[in-house]
Amino acid sequence: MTKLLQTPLLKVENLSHYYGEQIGCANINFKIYNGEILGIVGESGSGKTTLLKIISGLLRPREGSIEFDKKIEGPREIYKMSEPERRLLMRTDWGIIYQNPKDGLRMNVSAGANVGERLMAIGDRNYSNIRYESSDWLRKVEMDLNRMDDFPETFSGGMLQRLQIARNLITRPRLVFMDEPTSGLDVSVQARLLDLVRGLVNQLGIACIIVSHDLGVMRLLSHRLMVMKSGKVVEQGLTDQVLDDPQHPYTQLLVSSILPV
Amino acid sequence: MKNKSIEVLSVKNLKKSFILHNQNSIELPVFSSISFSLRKGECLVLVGPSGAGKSTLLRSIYGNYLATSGEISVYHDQSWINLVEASPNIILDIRKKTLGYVSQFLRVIPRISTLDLVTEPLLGRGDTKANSINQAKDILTKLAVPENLWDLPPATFSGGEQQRVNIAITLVRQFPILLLDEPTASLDAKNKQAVIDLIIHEKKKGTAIIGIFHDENVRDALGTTFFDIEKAKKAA
Repeated sequence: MTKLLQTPLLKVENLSHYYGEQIGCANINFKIYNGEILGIVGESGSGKTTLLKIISGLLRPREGSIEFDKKIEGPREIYKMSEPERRLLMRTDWGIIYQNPKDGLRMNVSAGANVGERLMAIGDRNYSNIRYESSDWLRKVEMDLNRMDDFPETFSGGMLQRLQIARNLITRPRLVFMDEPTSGLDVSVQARLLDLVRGLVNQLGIACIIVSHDLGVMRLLSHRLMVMKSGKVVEQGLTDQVLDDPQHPYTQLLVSSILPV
Repeated sequence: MKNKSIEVLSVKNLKKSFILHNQNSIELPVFSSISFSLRKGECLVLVGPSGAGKSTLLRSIYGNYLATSGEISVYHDQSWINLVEASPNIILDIRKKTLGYVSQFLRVIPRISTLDLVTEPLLGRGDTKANSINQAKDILTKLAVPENLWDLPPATFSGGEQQRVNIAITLVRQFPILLLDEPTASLDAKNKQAVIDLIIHEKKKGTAIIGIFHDENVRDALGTTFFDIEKAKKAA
């Protein structure tokens, strides 16, 4: 019963955001615990990315609160922190994997430097150590170490995505946000990336919030699922329950529209 | 009679119906007021014609289907929890430690070797690597999955081999309660026997089982109690 008493890692309450009159997302509530993978699905324009931006500290919402359980201080509301405090959180305890790897990487520095950057950002100055850790992480994401000193510009899409993962996980974040991590990758690379993400999450016990419209990816990766439509959460629950016994008309439509292979 | 009579799961007035919103919201009732209880070392066999709702009942108990009303109580971590009202992370914890489910078909992440698939859940709950691999190899041997297949992902295996891998992934974790949906459906006589032996072994250790077995021989070999869904529906 310890789970009942555990403090959620991230607690989102009554979150709403509007673009002018347009709803970005409305009245969102959820909690996520250590080691949990939460999937957010919905058609494009349903507010998935807006929500992800807000909860990852990139977009201040109009209404609502987001509390993150900090290691020492305990739960803190992220938009009441000072800018430097939030920035520090974003490059230590959090990781953000962007849909387009070019948004999350520095394209004009080497792969190794991309991975080592976050270590330097938290004050590590021992270069041999940084290089050692970076190469260790490149190995963990199955990158060829001969490419460590190459610029990311010469990398394929799948390699860029793996580089982004290494860059984020090197500081052992407790919460990782992923926006469509496998879109734009061919299926074989996608499967390997999924396995990689799941393995790393399992081993490190990190929590993960993944936005995707691929229900197959969600079934294999996420524990819980949140279904969004027109900015609102229409259904949430265990992934397999939401997919196998959907309750909301929209989820039923979504699940019944999957093409069999 | 030390441990024999300890109850581990009970179902009270369980009702399940499906509402199809995109087909004029028609309601498909499956069953209502289903009640039974399960004790340690018992193997409860669900009987009834196909379409009676046996798999639906099993899936509702696993939390895969959302019960419409009623109560499913599971003895977990030294207390009783009502699955129908439990939050997703509690259900996940129950699935991790207490309740195992063997589905009819294997569904796993592609390109992972069979041995890794069986080992992983053990590692995930904190067993050592050496120990996990030993247990995984042991159960694959018991289920007669050929050793030359262990390093391959099961996607290309025969139906029977896949099914045995599926059984191995769940049974290796030694859950106190097992839900089995046709675990022997596509197996030949010899492999069927291997599965039966393994389940009998589990039962002797006190594992409580709810199962669907269409095969008469399997039913007779394993069943201690029989629960007829159709009769239960009429009685209600």
